[in-house]
Amino acid sequence: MRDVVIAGVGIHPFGRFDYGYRELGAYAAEDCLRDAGLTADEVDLVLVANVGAEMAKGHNVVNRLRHTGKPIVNVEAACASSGSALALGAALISSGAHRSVLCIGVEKAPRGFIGASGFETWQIETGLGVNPLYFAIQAGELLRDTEATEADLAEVSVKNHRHAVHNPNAMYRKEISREEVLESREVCPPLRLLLLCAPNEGAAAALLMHSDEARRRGITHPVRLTAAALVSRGPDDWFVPAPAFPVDRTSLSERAAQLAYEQAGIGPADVDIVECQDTDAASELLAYRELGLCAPGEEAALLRSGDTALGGRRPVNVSGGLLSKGEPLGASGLGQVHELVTQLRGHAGARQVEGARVGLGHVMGAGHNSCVVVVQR
Amino acid sequence: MTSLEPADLLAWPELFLTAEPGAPTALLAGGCTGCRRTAFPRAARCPACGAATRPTELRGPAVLDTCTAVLSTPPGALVEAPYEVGVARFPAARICVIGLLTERIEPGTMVDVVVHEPYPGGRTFGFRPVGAADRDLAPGPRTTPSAERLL
Repeated sequence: MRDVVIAGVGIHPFGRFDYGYRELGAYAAEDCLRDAGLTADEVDLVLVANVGAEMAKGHNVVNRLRHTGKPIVNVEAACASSGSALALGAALISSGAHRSVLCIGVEKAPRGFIGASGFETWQIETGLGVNPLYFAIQAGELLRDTEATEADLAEVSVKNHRHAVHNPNAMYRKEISREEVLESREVCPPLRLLLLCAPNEGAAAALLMHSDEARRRGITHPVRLTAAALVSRGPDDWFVPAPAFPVDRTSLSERAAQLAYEQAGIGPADVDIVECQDTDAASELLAYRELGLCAPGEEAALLRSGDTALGGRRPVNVSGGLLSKGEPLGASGLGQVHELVTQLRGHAGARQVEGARVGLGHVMGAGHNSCVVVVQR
Repeated sequence: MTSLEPADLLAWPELFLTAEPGAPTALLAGGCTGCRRTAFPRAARCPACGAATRPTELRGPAVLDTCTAVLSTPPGALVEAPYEVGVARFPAARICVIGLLTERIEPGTMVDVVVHEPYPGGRTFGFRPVGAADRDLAPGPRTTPSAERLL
């Protein structure tokens, strides 16, 4: 991917709030525009990622800012919604169709299980229409097929909560112990409450711009978006909500990562910092393998080495990940991008990854879709 | 590539052969005439390669690969938590299917596909240990065959 830069980022903290999605989205968008030094009417196109709100949701968000007359398009791809918006925006800039695209992700999810994940009626009525069940199956396979243990799953959550202490945008900013995780309520064994992320509320935004336009506007040293790879279900993939899968199934995330590495012209060894889809603790360990950070079977060893913790060789989820930030579905991917850009600018304070120059973000969503992005200084 | 009528896409396929609760049944799958993959539920055209499928029945014994449980009743569910769920692997068809378990079953156990009544009047498919029907009728210790002994 060429000539696409991230000229600004913005975020509304993730958590629970007493105002609506329009306010959340507008806040993140304005935060992003101020960061870039633009006003809303200077943006060619707005893409708004959201899963659960009403019709014309993006329009309702942008109307809080200004009536610009510019096109607004809503994007939905479950947990990969804002990753999809980013990939679409980047393609439109690369193609020359637009010179600036504001991507906004926003969500205000109800408490409890995520509903309407694409399950068939028979799955819902017979109790098979519940997301953690599918994550628990993956977790069970991980424990069966690798050296990973329930203590390792707990350690992922402990690590990410430790990271989140330093992130003012995270929902849970308190350290937790391995014992607290392992004694938390079972949801779908082996997954427990503190091994799962909480759906919540929040918003994030990124302003994509052609590099020529950024130079013209005097935006110096922007972060480059060098890959935004988006894939959907292939012949042998499996994820929520499919009731069956091939014995020799493949991984959407792995395919998205390979595509992203090709687009960026780099390999996993070049990555300094990762924000990945830790919907549950096992999903982070699986992502180590799928993103090429370790060989299959070495997920637990990588975690135990400390390399994926802040201060390690390649920290993962220094923002606290979804386990600590919570997951506002439509905003999670852009939340990762906000963190990566903040890190690459060297502005992350106590959670700063020293010398970070290459960042990778990864999301994975129901309905079978995954997006992997690469940002570089 | 065979032609697919748009109307073929309107009907949701049957999942299993109807029978009384507890009776052995078969999952109604589609076997691809091109790439040889198996799809469940059955589709008129192979989702992987687009070739025509022929009706295929998935019967036990299958291997229970993994299992978990749902401990809180999800929204919309007619079955009440807690209940057990597992992944059954059908080696010949090279497909794994997620379904309710009739009881707690250890991974590696051989299972049959049976008609399951998870709530009064409800009918779905479920996975039950091979031999459990006989076991339930006979006195003595409850044991279920392992995959190693039956495969």
